[in-house]
Amino acid sequence: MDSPDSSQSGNGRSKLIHVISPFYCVYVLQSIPKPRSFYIGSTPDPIRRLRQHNGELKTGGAFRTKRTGLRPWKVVLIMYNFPSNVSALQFEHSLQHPYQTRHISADNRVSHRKGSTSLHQIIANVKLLITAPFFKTTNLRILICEPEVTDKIWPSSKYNVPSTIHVDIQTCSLEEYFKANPIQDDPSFEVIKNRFLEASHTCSICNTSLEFSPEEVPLFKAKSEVEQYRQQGRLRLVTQCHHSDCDNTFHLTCMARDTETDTSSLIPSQKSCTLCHKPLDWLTTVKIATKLREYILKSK
Amino acid sequence: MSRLEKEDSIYEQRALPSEEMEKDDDSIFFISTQMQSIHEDVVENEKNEVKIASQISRLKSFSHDNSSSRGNSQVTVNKVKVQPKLKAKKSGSSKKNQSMSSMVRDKFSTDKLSYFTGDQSKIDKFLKRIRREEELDELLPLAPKAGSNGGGVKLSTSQLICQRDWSYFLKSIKMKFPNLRSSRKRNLKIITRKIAIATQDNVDAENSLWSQAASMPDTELSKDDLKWLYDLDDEELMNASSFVEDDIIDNREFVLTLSQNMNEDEEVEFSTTGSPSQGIIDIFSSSAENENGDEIIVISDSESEVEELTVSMEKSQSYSQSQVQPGQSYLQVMESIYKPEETLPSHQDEVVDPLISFQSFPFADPKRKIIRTQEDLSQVNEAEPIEITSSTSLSKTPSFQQTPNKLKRTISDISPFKTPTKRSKQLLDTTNTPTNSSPVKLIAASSTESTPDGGQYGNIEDDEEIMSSDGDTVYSTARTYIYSNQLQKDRTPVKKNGLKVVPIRKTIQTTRHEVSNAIPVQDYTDPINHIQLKRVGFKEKEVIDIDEIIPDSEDDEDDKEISIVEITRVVEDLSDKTNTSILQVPSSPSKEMFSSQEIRNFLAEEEDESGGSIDFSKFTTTQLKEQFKEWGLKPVRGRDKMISILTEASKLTINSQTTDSTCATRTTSIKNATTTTTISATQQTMYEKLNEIIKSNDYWYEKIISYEPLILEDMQKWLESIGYKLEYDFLQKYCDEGGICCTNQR
Repeated sequence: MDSPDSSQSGNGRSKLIHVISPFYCVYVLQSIPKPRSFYIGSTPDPIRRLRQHNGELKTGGAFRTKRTGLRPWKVVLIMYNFPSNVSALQFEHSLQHPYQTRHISADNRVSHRKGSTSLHQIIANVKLLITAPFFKTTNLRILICEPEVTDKIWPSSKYNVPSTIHVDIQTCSLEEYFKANPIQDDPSFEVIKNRFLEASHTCSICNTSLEFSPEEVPLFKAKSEVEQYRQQGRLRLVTQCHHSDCDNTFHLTCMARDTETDTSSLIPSQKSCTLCHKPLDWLTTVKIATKLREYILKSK
Repeated sequence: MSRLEKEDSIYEQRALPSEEMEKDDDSIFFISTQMQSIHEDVVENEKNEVKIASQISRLKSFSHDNSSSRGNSQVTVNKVKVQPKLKAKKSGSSKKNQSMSSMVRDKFSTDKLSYFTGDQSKIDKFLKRIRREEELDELLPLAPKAGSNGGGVKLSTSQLICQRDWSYFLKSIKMKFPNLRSSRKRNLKIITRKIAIATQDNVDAENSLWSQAASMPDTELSKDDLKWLYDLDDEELMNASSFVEDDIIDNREFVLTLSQNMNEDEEVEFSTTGSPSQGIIDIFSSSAENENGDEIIVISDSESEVEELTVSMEKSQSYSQSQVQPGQSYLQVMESIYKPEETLPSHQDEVVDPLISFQSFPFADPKRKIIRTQEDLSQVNEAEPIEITSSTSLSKTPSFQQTPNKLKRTISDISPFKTPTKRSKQLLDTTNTPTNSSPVKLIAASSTESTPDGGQYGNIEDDEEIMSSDGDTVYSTARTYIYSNQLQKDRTPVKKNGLKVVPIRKTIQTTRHEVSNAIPVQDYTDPINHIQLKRVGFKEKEVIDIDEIIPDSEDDEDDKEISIVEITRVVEDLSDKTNTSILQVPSSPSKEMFSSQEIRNFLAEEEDESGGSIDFSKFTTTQLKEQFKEWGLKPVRGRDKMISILTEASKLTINSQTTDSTCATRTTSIKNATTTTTISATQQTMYEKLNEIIKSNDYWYEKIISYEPLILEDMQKWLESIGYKLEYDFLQKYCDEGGICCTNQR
């Protein structure tokens, strides 16, 4: 899956630094002519991917979706808000192999064999995975594109998987969704970036000056070099409160350490800005921070 | 004409019945029915004989020797000609493959002679056998062949059976084995085999598992038992429990003696350094009424009534008393209560009337003791199953007769009574009154000697805890167990650390003292010596306000309160542990006294106090495996490896005592969340510790909170550099629980 912002990364394959992609989702397709066939995949751009599956675009399109009698495909639901490509791929793999994944315990298993799964089973597996501790911290969201699923299949707790789980579910078609939330660089990012470039800031929590000078950062060629650099304490993630009116600047670690409530996981779940006291969406915050870091590293 | 002839014959018959008998057998009519039946049998037999003889003669005609066979070959040829058709038909009809023997059988059944036609040698063989039989018959005087055996071929030694008999046999077999397949019925070999097996089964019925389980246990001495008895040494018998039988009443008198006497006796093999009487006194004291006025019932041997014996501590007494010197092995006597003739003692709670049930036993060598550790108060209140120990094997009855001579004298001096005889009671009375006895002093003395910091205990007034020895209430103890006193309610039963440690058999002794309030007593824990002092309760000192009694000047005003203090210590078990074996009432055949869980809990709590690390090398391999399972680690092979892994992992759990209370709350809060976590509390604490470690390092902390997929090996290396050598799968689980993404890409 090629990344949409390939302008920044010189090398498409290996990335020097981790950055949260703006959009990455796992989708479930259903064949229109043969409704019992499903396909599970992941992509940063689902609309384009669907076209590839259906053969509208020349390149791409998976082998299994090419078979005659299965095209065209439609999207049943997508899961998004993954923090990294890797985690999305892992989720996809788990959903494709629900009978053996370690994230679903043997007691809870719905699917026991490789055989064909029904939509009910898929939905049940989705529910199970979303509530699994591994994926719990990622705050996934679900977009259901088929109203039938929302009305009947999701609420029915078939396979004894409860349907009341804390997850955001939207129901609308893909196009509608992307109209409302286009996959583009968040304009707020630009604002923050500029703020950093203009003036030097200090972390509001630990009161050390934040380094944000792309000129000082050497040019790296290998990831290991970057890692070494980071281990020295350089290139720390810094960010600002993502609410537009607040400019609270801080180290990411400082904010995370501050007022730690729930120690079940290191990844903080609920944080509020120390300045404006509005709730911070952690994923967004991290997204901005990683983007900033990437910018420093690569803008030469 | 014919009719006439018939009439004539009938007439003739009538006229001359006797003559006709010989001619016309069928029409003979006897008046006596018995004679009639016999006659009919005879007639039938003769007919059979004739028939068989004719058949044999026909067969003989086929014999190779017989020259006439050639003459008959045509006949045979004809028959042979007929046969192929039949054969073809048969083989055509039966589509499945028939075995040779079944084919032969089929042929034989349809046409016996056809069986032979193909094979001349068979005919010869058959005829040979017949001839042999006939010769034998001529040689030997024949046994009465009439009757059921049937004539024809003689059955005396024969293996030849006539058709009638054969069908009879078959019928009987069919009846006996209705489930046999028809193909099997005709095979004599199989049938005989089956019969043999059946009879064998009948023989084995007694030994079958079911019958054994369902039956009463053996009351005879098995071979092993006998051997054991034979091998029983003098030494062993020193420690032997005394199962007493009625007729083995010794001449010895077991006398309960006082401490003073005891001191002189040096042959007593006590490994105690202090006065050996201490043990007895302990026992006495334990039998005494303790401060709460409860009686601790102790049981001694009974020979007259060896009934089901269980030792039950009454519910009110939740502690045992044992004055012990640290370092001194505690006298513990256990006996086997097993009486062969009677039913096994029940495992259940039984309140024993001490007056009824007695046990006598030689005062055991302190080597032979088992002290069980029990942790939970809650369990204390129940009656525990009897701990039977003996240094010998798990046999039932070490014969009392073989009590060694060595011990005789000593036993006579120190052993308690066998029966609550009057004399014994007298002795008890005389010897053990509060005023005479010096046990109090002894205890005091010993306790002050022994304690490292004697000042701590200070002025202990032990007067209060007296052995009020009623003659009735003093018994020799059959103490079954000692458990650490844990009366305190504030002692939280929460498993601290969640650590479940294994049953290291510690000898834990608890003493109760009363300390006047002049000395403030605080809870004290000495981790090195594993001594623990706890304030248990209070007691009001009775102020006897009599004019005659002038209050002592030393008595403080506020000395009215006396605090009850319990001291728990771990005592070195001096005994050779290998000698001790544990016998339990057979209904619970497990070797462990407690479930490992219980002991772990207990020791975990001990752990808290001591704060030391757990020595995994003391675990057995199975326990190690359990530990692995509990902590969610992937099992590995090799004991050493397991130990090292667990040790490393346990580093995460040390010093997390402070998080206990928070831990408990956290686990509940986590479960309230929508995630389904299935990790144990131990794992929880370990993960939290890991969280703390990672938080301390900015680099790794940042990685995690920014959702960067980690390379676990790198993290493993880093942790190792700090000093936490953890397994990969353990870290994997940690990441799973924490929602940390891991990858292998570089």
